[in-house]
Amino acid sequence: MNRVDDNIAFAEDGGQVCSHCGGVLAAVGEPHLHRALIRVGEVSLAGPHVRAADPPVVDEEVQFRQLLCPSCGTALLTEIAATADRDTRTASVTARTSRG
Amino acid sequence: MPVTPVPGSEKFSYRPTPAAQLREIAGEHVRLHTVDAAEVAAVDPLTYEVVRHRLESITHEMGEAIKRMSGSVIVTDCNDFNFAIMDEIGDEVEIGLYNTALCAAIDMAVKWTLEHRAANPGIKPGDMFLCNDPWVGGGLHQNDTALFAPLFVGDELFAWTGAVAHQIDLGGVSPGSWSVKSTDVFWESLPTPPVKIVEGGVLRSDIEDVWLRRSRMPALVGLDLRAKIGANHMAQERLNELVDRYGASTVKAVMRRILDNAEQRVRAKLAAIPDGEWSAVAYQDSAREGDETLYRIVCTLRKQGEGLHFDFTGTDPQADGLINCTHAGVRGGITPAVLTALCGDVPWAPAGVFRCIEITSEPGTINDCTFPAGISKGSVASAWATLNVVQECLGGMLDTHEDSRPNVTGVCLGSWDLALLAGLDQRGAPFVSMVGDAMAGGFGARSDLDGVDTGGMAGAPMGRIPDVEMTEFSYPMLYLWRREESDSGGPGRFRGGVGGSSCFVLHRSAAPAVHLVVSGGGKAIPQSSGISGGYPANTQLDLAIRGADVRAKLAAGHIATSLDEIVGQREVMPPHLETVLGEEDVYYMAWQGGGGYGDPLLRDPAAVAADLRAGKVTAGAAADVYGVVTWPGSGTVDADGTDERRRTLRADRLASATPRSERSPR
Repeated sequence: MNRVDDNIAFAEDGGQVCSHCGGVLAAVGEPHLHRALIRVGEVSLAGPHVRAADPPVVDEEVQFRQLLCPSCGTALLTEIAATADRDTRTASVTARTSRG
Repeated sequence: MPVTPVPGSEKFSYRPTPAAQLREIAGEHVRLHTVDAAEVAAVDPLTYEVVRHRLESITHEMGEAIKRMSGSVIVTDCNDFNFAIMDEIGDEVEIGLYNTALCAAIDMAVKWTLEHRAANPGIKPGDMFLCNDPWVGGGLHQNDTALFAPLFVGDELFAWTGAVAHQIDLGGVSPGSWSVKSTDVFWESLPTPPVKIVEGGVLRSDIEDVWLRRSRMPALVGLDLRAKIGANHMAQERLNELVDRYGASTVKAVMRRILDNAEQRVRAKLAAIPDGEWSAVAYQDSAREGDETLYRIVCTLRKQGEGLHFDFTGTDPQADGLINCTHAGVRGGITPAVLTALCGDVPWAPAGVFRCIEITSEPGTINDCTFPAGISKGSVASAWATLNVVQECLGGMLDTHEDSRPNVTGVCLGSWDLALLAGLDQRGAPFVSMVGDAMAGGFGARSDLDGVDTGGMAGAPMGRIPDVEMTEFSYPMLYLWRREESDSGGPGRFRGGVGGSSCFVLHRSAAPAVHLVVSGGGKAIPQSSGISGGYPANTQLDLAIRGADVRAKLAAGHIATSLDEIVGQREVMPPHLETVLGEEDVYYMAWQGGGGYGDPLLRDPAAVAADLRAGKVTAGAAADVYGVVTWPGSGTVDADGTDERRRTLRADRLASATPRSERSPR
């Protein structure tokens, strides 16, 4: 099974599955990580090292975002991003079963 | 900033001219040495390797030469400079390992010079050209001043050598030429397109005076100029020796083969990686003092067959501020990332590597700005952010294949934390000093290793943090501490390298206060992003503590070693500010670590426990981000407790999440 990264692998049919639990992340023909869950919240969810600027230094709202495997909860993508932005980080990889 | 074409400025908005056309233009005025394919093929493998290694060692010698001659701490201690050996049309065959971003556009400046200076004033033996115009090339902002020299063999232009170094001050309204109030380039150091400052081996005093007159530190900049002249002289002496021994055609044939070899090996690597497309965004908070806008650089990397296409479509329009970079900055962001990710075992010959790369950037955007946008921070703002987003996309690409996966590196030190001091030093002399401590940023995590703690910056493999004692000797500063900061590395299955912090006071200045220029992003959004589920590194924090009790504590024999011990009025620094630092003030700066790789709940609990003991992470992060429970006292891992904690954290994540597919697109 080829993989996209540490957490995302290709199933035999070319769909995306979680490499840790095998949960389906995107069926064939669906967009990248279409079936992932998303968790959003305050930037402090990233840990004690990420502070909300006080006073604020930008006039836009920013948030913590995390895409999760719907089966095992593994973090597939973790970011701090502008709330207004969607799909800031995407990937589209050719599923290959052999090198070449 | 609206993009309005400025008549007369078009000449300087340069994109490299194709080689054949450039040879035709320059060839009318100067004879260019070249070799044909048969001569390249005729070089035997042993000669090739001997000459190739000699070329490489000459670039290293150039580094030693400039360090020995410069008097600027940013050069001698921080290694903020670099060198290149180029062929007759400016194609870079070898570059140094110092600040590789500085060599991203020196070829542009040489090519521009061939086009615009060959007829008038001419390119002759013994000439050297100075350039600090990032629209032409050379460096990424005005402080990066290039000095490059043609090398003639007989009556033919055989090659070029070039040196680029950060100059401590080249004028503009703010010390250090970091004009944080800049709304356009006229607030900043004057860009200087290539000018023949050395003619026939003689430094032209009239041009030198024009050059130095703009600086607050003319003696130091004059010394740096001579250091670069010396480095070019040294390189040309060595190249002449090489030509004398092996012949011009053989040396040139080796140079050609180096380029071909670099290209072929990079293409072979790319061919083994699945085709695909990766996108990411890099944010910057604020373009100048008083601005609270969030700026985006968007990158889509398309890998198809043996080629890479970096497409920056969607990047924000250029800003009324100092964060923009020119096309040189886009190249400055791509070059270091590609060299370190793909060329660990390939000659660092950018001209060969870049044959595999296509760039789409839009003039009028923050990473391809047009004249007269402000660019004085371009190198560490939009060029740096470009590097971040390129590194993130390359990491995604490399992660797809088992052979390339070990070369995945997360984003390193997401932004430069600048504190620039200027005033009178302890000897009563004027000084300008860029605090170079952020050179010890955290390196991004890899797919199989933690990032190097305080390992540096991705763009400068041989960058160095300046020695504290040398800093205190040179400038009126006294450090309370400089150290690694807990939790600053992005959490992940492999942790990003931690960054650090410095805390210092003004000490024995001949004046009661010094000028302080603050310029550092990553305060709203961490700029060291994670990869593959890894978390970003820390947000940056700069803080002045006014009227602090530190001196009273020192008099009583106590040195404060944490912010909690310092009493005074805390003033959080915005991303851009000009202010002063007085005798009773303390300045604290905490720069960023590297991004993490993979889910931190998958990190080996023993590694987290070790990090906890070493102070790399705090107990709070160990429990809440990594889900690791340790036994009180021994600090060893409580395996059952950790399993339970991680199950709880996963359940909490899922309980608070919603289907992604239900979100509406922007």
